[in-house]
Amino acid sequence: MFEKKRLHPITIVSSIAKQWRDLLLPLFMAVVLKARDVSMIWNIAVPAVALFYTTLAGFFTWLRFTYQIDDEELRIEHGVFVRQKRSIPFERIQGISLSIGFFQRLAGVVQVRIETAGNELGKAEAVLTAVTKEEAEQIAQHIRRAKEKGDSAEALPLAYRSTHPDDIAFSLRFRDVFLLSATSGGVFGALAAISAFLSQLDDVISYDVLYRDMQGVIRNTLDGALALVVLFLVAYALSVGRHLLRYAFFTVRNQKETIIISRGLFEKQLLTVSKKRVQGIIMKENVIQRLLGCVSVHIIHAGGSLDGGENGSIVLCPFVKKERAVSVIAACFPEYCIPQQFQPLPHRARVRYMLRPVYVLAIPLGAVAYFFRPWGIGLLLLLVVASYLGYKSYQMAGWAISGEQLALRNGMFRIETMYTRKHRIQSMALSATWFQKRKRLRTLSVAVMPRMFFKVTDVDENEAEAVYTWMQ
Amino acid sequence: MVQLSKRISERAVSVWRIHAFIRLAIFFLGYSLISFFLWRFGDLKWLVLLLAVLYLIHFSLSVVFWPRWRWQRWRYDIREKEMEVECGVWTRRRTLIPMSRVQHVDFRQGPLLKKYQLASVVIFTAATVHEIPALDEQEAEQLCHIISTFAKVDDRDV
Repeated sequence: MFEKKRLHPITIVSSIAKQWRDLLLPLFMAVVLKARDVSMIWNIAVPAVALFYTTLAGFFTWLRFTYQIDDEELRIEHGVFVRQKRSIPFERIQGISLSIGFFQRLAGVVQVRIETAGNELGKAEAVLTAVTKEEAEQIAQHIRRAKEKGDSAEALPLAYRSTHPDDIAFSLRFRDVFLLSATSGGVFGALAAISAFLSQLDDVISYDVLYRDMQGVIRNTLDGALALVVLFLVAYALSVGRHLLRYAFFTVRNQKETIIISRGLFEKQLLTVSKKRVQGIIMKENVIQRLLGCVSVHIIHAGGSLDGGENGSIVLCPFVKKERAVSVIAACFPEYCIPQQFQPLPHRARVRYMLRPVYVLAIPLGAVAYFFRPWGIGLLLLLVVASYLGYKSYQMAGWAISGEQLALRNGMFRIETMYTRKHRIQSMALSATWFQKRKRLRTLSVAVMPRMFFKVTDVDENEAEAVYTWMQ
Repeated sequence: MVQLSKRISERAVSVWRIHAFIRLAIFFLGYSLISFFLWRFGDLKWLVLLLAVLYLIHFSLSVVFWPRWRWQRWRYDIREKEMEVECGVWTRRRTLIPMSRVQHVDFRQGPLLKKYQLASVVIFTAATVHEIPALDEQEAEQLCHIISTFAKVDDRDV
């Protein structure tokens, strides 16, 4: 029963495919772009060697990777030259996520990611690339049993299809996926990706030559604008596509001890998050979302990030009306209360908020304005805009305490509100610079997870101290 | 809020001064290199003079004054349920760490600290790291012991 097992052989194919994906660009450069001045043999030899090497590597990695499930722990041995053994006790596993990618679907298997609590975040403790569904279920059962044996009543049920269809707390409508990609700043993300890709090509394509050619092509600014629009549309399409793949069929199921999140169009993913491990909730709203009255809700999870996003933060609702978000949170986490008045910052903080962006921009903008006199002087208007934004973020910032719960809110373009409970806070700090002290202001900051700090600047001295004593 | 009661060892000032001196000695190389080039290749004698003045200010601040100010502002307190740390010259920062969040405590002693019979205590929570620098050796050891007995991590809440 406890025999050492290997992953499904589809792992070889998927790892080769993955390596090829990474190799594609360099290979493309080595072969196609150098084709003019290197012989034919080069063109065949390079990909052949690469193929041979990746196949070999994929095969041996698979051959040397074994896992073993016994009553208490999961044991993994891997490494082609350097053997590594790792044993993970089931009772220490904090979260488990299943996903079915393209290759997994071909072979009818699933991928299992396992997270344990620990200081090192962001890295899955173990990934079993291809195991049968029965085995995944078996691992989940072991975890559940181990948890029950310990006195913590933390169960970790795993379900492909929930038996009760009425436990769905949230599901993303199809049209929301489009709205989501339109509003989440993903467009700019895609633009950034494209420009990063172009800068990667720097060595290969000589931009000087290209520029000279381009001057012929883009003869007037109209063509330039058109090119920009096309680039923007491509980026937008990419972003919509990515969000579609990632968030299609996004469903949150609310069970007694756990939250189960499933999503994905081609690559199905199933996350099981223990409610006990939720350190807090974050609501994010960017400018456009705020206009539409929508937010995205994330949960801070003390078991690393199972969905491959930011450290320790898992998307609960990627795009939802604010009122709906409140009811979803109320259903899933009844101990949190969302609609509440925020304590605003004192009036004397306003000037500081309005001046802060100006300090940062004044010198660079001033320099540019000076060099491009007289028209550059117009740039100084940006300082007014910056100070208005600072005023806006002053209005948005605030904090609130209700019972055991602390909420902090700040942000300029993107407002972030973090809700956490007293016994989830790892440390709380009050700080004051000399200027702040003079105005009787404090900066209140709270740590709930490694690299997850939330702070509100310029809270009234007495109020900040009240929060501090609330914590004691 | 009441001021915290405990302070770190006054010998910390000497240790920090030595550290700062070593750092400033390295800085001196940088300063003099730049000065040399300015003197040799550009007719920028006033700039060299300015650099020298800057260096002197930098030196006196970080070797003479800063360590003392830093020590004066360093305070901490350990209670059964929580610990507090307050420090910072320009930005004063007071941190509260509930004992139930403390995961483990480290005793650290570099060669310089050892020579002065000092040691640091480093406190780890699941999210943050806090250091109380330059305590008296015995006191540090005692502190480690006290914190680890007070700190019973409630595993339910991480």
